[in-house]
Amino acid sequence: MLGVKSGIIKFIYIFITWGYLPTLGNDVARHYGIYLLLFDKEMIMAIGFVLAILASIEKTFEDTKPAISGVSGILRNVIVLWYFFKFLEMITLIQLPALNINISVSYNLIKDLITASILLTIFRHVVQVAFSKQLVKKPKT
Amino acid sequence: MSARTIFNIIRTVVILFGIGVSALSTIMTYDAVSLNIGLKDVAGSVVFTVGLTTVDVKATINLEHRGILFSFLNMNVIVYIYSDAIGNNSPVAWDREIFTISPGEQKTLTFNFVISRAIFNSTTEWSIVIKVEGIMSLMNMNFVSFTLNYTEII
Repeated sequence: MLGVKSGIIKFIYIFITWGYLPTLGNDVARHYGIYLLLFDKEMIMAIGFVLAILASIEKTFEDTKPAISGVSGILRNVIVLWYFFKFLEMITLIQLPALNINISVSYNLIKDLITASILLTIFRHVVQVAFSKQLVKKPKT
Repeated sequence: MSARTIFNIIRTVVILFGIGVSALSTIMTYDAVSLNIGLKDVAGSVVFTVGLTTVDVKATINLEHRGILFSFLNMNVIVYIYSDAIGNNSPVAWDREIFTISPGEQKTLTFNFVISRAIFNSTTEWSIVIKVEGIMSLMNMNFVSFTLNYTEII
């Protein structure tokens, strides 16, 4: 029961941070004449929803079924990695026509560090799946 | 050591690494927006001193780095001046400055150009194009490199 409650909280948290807040950023950018996003609003919300579902499964079954939680975590982080590269592609060339400014950015070490962080998280979930039997928490009597 | 303990250690390392990377990228974003380049000022600060056969042009840019951690390394600022009499394919004059600016520092860059009097007399509109190339670095490690182009017509 505690796992389900944590799962619901995680769903709400991930949906707000990955599904709702980025669309607000999009609106603010457009207000200033900046068109950054490769995706439309519905697509951002859909990705946020999928990530939230996977995160809630991951959290709900973390202690009772670590294999399911691990697979969900791997899927979620693969989507996060893909989304991160899409985001980088999007902010590589920034145009501010109202200010007559064009900026092209090349992300070097920071890109490698963030990628390493996501890959490490995937590795953690692989370990979770591999040792799932030993990681099941026994209920306290 | 149990599987649970090893897993908890891996999880802690992953979480700490993630927090470190998030903190670095947040500070980097803050530092990027904290570099105040007075691009607008340069167009306003252009001073033409008319001579017999040439015209001396002087422009200044003020920079202030209000960030906290990252330096802007080997910043290459190039200012091009275009005249409508010549066209926008080749600049009438250009000058550049290379510098490094660390958090808390301020700099003033001065650009000097010499334009022929004939071009000056036939020009009705000047275009100032500023190109900034730089690297955001921490301990000489290249985190982000960028190129910025700014155009102002005077």
